[in-house]
Amino acid sequence: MIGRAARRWFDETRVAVAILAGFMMVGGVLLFQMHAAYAVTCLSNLYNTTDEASADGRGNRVFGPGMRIYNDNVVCGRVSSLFVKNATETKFVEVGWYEDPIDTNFDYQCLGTTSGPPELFAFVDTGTGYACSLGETLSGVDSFSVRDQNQDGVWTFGHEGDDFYTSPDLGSFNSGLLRTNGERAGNGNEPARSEFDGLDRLDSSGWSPWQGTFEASTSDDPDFHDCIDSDHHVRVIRDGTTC
Amino acid sequence: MIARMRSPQVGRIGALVAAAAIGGLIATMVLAPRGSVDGISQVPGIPGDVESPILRALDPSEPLMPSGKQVELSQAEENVGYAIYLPSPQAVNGETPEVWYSSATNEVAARFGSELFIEYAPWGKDQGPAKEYAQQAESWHVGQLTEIGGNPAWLIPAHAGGDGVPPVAVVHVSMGGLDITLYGGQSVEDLAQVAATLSTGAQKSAAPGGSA
Repeated sequence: MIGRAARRWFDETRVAVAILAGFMMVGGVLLFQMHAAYAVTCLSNLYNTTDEASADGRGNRVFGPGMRIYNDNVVCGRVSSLFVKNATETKFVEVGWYEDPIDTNFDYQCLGTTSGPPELFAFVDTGTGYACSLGETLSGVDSFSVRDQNQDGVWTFGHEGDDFYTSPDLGSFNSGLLRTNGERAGNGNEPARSEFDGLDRLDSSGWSPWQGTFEASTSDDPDFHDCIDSDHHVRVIRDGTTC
Repeated sequence: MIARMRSPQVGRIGALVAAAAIGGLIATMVLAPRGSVDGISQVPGIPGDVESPILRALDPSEPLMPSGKQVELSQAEENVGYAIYLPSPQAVNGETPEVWYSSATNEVAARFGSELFIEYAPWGKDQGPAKEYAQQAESWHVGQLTEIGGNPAWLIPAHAGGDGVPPVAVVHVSMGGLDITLYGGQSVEDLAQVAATLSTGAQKSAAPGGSA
């Protein structure tokens, strides 16, 4: 009898130890994941550092050499892009690259998630609807453009000389403010660095370099700042770093 | 027969594995981070704490044009080179408009408190208003085509494009070579009634009973 009771006690103890081990094993894994994912807090709003040309245009381009593509290790989303916006900012078209890693608690509308290097994107927001297109993964320094050359309200998006997306009709929105944008969705530990070298505007006579470049009113990043090297070459760098 | 029998040792190992799995499952349910379920969804390029540029434009404490400035109506008309259409005072409860002008884009917009703002944009030289509204309604799958005072119009109820898109009712109407867009917190039918009262200062003066 004693031997049977001891054996039963031994079996029950082993089950309890196994349950405890299961707890510890899964808990350990979760704690590791939580440490990795929660060292960065994804913001409920975005931070942007933006520059603007003094004159509007029917197209915005960075070309020769172009926009630098940074393959940073990010948890939340980030973007480097060119814009054309109307003055009330209710309508815009945007082209550039973005990252939005899988399995975080942040998502860009329409674009979906990424894994690995930054990806090409086009985005259109009319205030009454939005649309987007995704492209290939990117690296290095590439040219990007967005334009409505004949001002028919339909915008064409280009990358490295190839047109990859045509927008739905945006009606009378056929020109606007020209901007660059370095954007992040994470806290100050996440990068927002960007570089645009070779900024051009499009008017009725064709492409010409940006002029009178200044930091736009939409810049609101507390940890990164604008660096205007020249009218057609701007960068976004971390605070504490000088131009 | 032999194959169907489990030895006591195998049974104990199975019980241990099952116990560990149950323990792990319970631990997962208790410890899994809630944040991975509740996601944040953002439109790229809309900065800072701007929930929606349209709602910001309806907030009188915010600039209607972040890179523009408030001007007199006559100054705005002189700058853009066309007459500005405004609703009748009765349609906006006598509210005096804020008129904003952007020298960078040569655009003008008007705001009536937190209830209404209006954008004005000249059509491109080859654009026909009725055709443009029809193409946009088809492209974006929202709204209703109609006429207001004999002018082509496109009416878009709030949330017609999905949750919060647009956040308020929108009425496009074409007058004097302009695409005039009204954004307002009322129903799209009421906003169309406001649009029906749009006129320029010159038209008001010429109307019976209008002041010179």
